[in-house]
Amino acid sequence: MNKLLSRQFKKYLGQAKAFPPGFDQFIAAISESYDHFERDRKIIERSIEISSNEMIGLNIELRKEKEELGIIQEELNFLFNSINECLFSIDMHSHQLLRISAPCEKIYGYSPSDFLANPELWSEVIYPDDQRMVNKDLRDLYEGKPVWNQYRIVRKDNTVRWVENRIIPTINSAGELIRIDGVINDITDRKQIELDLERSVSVLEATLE
Amino acid sequence: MIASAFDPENMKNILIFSDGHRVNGSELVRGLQEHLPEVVIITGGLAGDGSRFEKPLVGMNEIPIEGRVAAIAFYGDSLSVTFGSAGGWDSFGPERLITRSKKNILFELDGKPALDIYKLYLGEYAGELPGSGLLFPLCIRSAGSEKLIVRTILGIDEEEKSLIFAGDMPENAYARLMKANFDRLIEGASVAAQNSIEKDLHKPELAILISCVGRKLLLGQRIEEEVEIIRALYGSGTCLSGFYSYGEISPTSDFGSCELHNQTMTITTFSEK
Repeated sequence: MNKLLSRQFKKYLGQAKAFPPGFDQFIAAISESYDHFERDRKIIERSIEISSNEMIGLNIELRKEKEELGIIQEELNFLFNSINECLFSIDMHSHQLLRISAPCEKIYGYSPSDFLANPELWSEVIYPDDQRMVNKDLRDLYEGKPVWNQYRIVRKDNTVRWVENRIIPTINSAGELIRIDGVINDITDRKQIELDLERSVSVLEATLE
Repeated sequence: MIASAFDPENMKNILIFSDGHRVNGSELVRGLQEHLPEVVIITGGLAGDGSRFEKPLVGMNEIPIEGRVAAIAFYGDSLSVTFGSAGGWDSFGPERLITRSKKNILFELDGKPALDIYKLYLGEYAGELPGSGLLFPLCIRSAGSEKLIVRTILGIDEEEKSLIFAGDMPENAYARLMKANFDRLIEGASVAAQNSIEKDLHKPELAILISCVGRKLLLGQRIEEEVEIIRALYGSGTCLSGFYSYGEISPTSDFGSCELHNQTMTITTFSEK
């Protein structure tokens, strides 16, 4: 008989021996339900304890991962702003510039906050004669093709510089362009050498003719 | 095979009774759905043998045997068939990814042997597996979906550390343990009966009650309350019959497709207009 039921018997019925017929079965049913209740309680208490420990474990793991991610983020931010190239990311759903690194100021004369405040600024600074070529190249991004191009820009101080732009598109499972990530660097000096070289070759060819 | 043995013309309902140990309920339901017109209500259950998980027997006009699937098709313009199904279980603890499974056999959750997780939770009752596994069904959902399906353990494989369930356990779905709340289990039976009445607006003449054996093991002597609450709703004019199952079959809603359920009270009602 269940321990608690046995104690209750002694406490409330003393040493009573004579019970009505069928009483044994009745007591057995009560005893079984006491046992059943205690077993369920034990299982539930155990499962709550194990599950709570699992949740605490997961929480500790998540916190640790968050800390590690924070360190990685700091390192990335340092790298992002310390290299000479300008890095940028654009959300193509909202056409919002997500981030642009500090070297943009050296290349364009405009600060990252100028670009973040005016989403059209990057397009406005393209040298008018190169505008059409750049727009044509950008169409490839919608097909998931990376873009590599060179064009001129007009800096804030109105000087003209050559830049090289490499853009990687991200396409979602529905085939939509959702994001672009790119690198821009100033190639004016290199471009100048190339142009001078071309000019010299032309002069030489003309002279030889 | 079963579906093609019947004339689908004007079929109202097909009532299935299948061996619940040897038959994968999800595949049985899929096969029936593929070969029957959409309007046919598919209901029924997988036969069990309590917490023994040894030899469920099914038969029709014969001595019941193992591995049998029996089906009865109902026809007639004046016949009204309704159904209702409800559980009443609560999920708890972390959601785990099904990292390895094959059809209804679950090998790993979050890369760990599924059997070990059950043994950890069951403690001293792990020795009573697979019976004690009924205390903790799993609720599964596909990634990106909120629809939950309950699955219950029918067997274990110590060597492979796997668990055998009554229905499919797809890889990359998420699984969460469930625990019983006695009052909600009994309320679940009442919800199933109410749903069956709402579909026809009058009380049925016959109701087949198919309740999961896991509910019986948990509710113990209180299991009778399931039938009592249904009797109170239907009244004395309804003939009640049924069995404790290893899986229940019914549509999920009026327009939903038929599915294999676990740990539910599933009711099919019949009446003549």
